Amino acid sequence: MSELNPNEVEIDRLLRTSMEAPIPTLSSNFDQHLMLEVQRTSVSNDRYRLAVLGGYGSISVLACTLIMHDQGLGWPAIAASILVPLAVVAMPRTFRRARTTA
Amino acid sequence: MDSDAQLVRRAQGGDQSAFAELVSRHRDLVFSLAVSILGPAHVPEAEDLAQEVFLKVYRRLASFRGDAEFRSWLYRITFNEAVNLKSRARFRRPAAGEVALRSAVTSEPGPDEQAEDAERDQALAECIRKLPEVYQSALRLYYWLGKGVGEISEMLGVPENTAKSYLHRARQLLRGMLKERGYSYE
Repeated sequence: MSELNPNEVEIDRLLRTSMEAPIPTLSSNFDQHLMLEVQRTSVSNDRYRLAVLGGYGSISVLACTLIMHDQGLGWPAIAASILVPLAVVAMPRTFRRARTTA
Repeated sequence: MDSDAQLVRRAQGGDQSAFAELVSRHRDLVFSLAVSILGPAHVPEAEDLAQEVFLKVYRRLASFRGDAEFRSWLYRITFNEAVNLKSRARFRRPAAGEVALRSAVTSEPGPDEQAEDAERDQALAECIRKLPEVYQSALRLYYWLGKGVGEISEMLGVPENTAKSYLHRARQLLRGMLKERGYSYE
């Protein structure tokens, strides 16, 4: 309890009686509602991230392909220059997944 | 049992059960803080606000670096969100607030006494609404929601002595305001 000055005793008593009221509580399904919203937020964020990344990747690949072809590179070389880095990037994850399932 | 910091790290890594644990640890105090700012007439809005706060925290969790304690960060967001919400027009309108709630729990005195009490409580409720937000919040947390000075200081993000001084100053201001309205509490 906070210490009261003598001139605060009466106002303290008034506040205690006047503000006496049932203490509100959260509804019982608060957590459930919230976690549903969290899941929805998480899924929509993942989709958005995937869409942005996918769009960026596709445009980059297309632009690189056109530029490389324009510079006279053959299709097999273009395909290799795009797919090899992609495979290198994807390899650690595939390797990790293979180790956890083994 | 995991600490808040450990749960935050797990939640940052995408573990939703860790976030659920954080919610279950802090939801009651977040709600108390929200309702102490919005006032007793806005309990459903305080619950919605608590939900909004946790969603906001979830979205911003990646940017939380742990410089401050998680709960201090959470209470600061709650306080700011509640004050922003309250500043919108419909929350400024005088509400039945403390007076209406009190009438639901007090025993029935005589009609004259009842009228006097109601008038005085109305005056008190109006005076409380004129106090700065932190004083209103401290008063409601202390007198209505039964929180101790330690909890109030934590929720408002101030040292205990400052929380005590909020309560002291709020009582002094109320005493002066009520005196101007013809009620003396010496």
